[in-house]
Amino acid sequence: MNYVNWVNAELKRILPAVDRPTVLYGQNVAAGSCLSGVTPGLTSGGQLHVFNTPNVENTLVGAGFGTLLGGGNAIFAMKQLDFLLLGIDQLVNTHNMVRINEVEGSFTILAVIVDSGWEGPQSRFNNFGDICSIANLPGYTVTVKQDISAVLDRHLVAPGARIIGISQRLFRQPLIDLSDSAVEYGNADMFRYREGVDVTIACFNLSTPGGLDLADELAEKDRTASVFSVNSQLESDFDPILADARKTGRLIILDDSRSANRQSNQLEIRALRDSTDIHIQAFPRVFRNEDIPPNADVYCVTAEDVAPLFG
Amino acid sequence: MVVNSEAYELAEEVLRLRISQVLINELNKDKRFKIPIHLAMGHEAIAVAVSSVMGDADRLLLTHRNVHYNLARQKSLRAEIDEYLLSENGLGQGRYGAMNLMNPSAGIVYTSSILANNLPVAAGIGLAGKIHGKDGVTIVVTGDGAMEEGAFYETLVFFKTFEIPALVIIENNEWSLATRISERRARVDLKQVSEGIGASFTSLSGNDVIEYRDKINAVREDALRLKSPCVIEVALTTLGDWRLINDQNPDGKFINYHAGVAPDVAPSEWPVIRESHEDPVHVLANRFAMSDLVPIAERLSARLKEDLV
Repeated sequence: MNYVNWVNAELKRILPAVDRPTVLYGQNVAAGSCLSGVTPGLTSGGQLHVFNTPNVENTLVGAGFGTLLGGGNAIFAMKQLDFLLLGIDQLVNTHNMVRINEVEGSFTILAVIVDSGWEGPQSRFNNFGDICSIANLPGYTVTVKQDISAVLDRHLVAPGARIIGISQRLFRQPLIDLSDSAVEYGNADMFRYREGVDVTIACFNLSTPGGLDLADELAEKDRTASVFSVNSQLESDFDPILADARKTGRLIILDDSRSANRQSNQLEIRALRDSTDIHIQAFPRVFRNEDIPPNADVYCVTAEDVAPLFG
Repeated sequence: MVVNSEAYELAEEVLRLRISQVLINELNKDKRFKIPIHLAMGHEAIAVAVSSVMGDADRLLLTHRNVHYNLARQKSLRAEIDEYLLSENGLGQGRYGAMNLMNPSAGIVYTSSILANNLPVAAGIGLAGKIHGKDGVTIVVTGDGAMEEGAFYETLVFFKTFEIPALVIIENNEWSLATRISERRARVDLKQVSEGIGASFTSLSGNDVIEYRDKINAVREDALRLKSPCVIEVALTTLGDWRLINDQNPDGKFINYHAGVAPDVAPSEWPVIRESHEDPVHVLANRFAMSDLVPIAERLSARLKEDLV
């Protein structure tokens, strides 16, 4: 079982059971590889309608909000987050009209975040936080078995609108299963996957697998780490992370996004403001011109990188 | 059969583009490229025809599937491949890769990997030409998928409003990734859409490079004379499809070629892929003697392979 297989399995578990009219649509959702494995096996039947669409992203976003306003559930599944840029007007302006009303309908954009490298100057777009920020729209990333299930269960057809971001880099990677240790905070906003005594690792965007690897590497040096994953893109409650960091005395912040408006910055500010006894090391990415040509786009933080925290 | 030397040059260009792509496909089979490459086998006639009518002041804007135009506008396969290898010796010094490959010195002023992104940019390129008093035509290539975007309509309105001479070339291969037009939308009458905005409409099919050259040349003259956009829809087939055979598809499932390797295409003495009008190489035989064409193909093949050493 790999990452995308599990996303697909969970969609197939949840969607046929929804008890109100639901449309799943997008380019190639029911053709070819079905979004590289996201939507195979999802077919129309009962309350669920599945169909391919033309390449009309602005309309596809607007139509999602329209379906929501009409009392239905809409899921726009799309490959490549950058296509969503064509629907920014709808995301910002229409969403403002939707959010001030109580709605029963639902609109979810299920988008693949292109974090895999080699795409070139334009088709890469790993700025999920920026999109959610400009639209003030809830967003959730998913990286392991537990958050995939929880985010889809809580949000896929919940009233209101949101974006769920899945990682292209992780598509064919073996599914990470942390069922023995996962603790959920909020409404699938945040998870703790490990509990340690020497350092707290807070993972943002899609960096959780890297954070778990870093924890494993530190364990080889007899240092145990708490690992948190911040899945929500807007206004997270960082208290559990800060409480843990106060115990360990060390906080590592990982964020592999290319967003300029980073929640990880908010955590760093909170930690600096609230707790003078926490040693902090943050690894944000900076958007540089030299990163734009096609490249592997690797984000990797090693035990050597965080050695200064341990003196 | 009387064929002039210019016609032979066009035929040779079609063959050069085909053989070059077959060689790129071989390197792709060997996993030499880390970036996604969208070959355009079957698109050679339109690219050669457009390149042959372009004037010095014309500007060309391309899409993610641009290899045919880039090869037509410059003669070095090596430079193209070096770009795909992200080398400093590449056509764009390794900055663009494949999907954004542009070459301003050859008139390719912008290339976008984003669906319909190049259309509004073409409007601006045309406007810049107009305010600078340049005489050229803005030529923008798009596809049957990208013309579904609102930007297609908006750009035509912009061209018409500001009297910008432009060719909007729609390469219609029927497919957007894995969906045919009939699987994703209602059929759109491009003639009516174009003429409703005051743009002329021309339909091309059959992959005859000489016919294409003559017709596009005439349309380009109209665009300059009328200071107006002209829409050209080209029916074509992206060759390189294959059949997937596995446990779920024991009889084989048709896989449309979109990008990456075309597994069934391989170098041969005569680089035809399909014996039909869908293949511009096959169509050459309607105008030229095979006894003339095959030696040209062999010579080109040897030279291009040498270029890669």
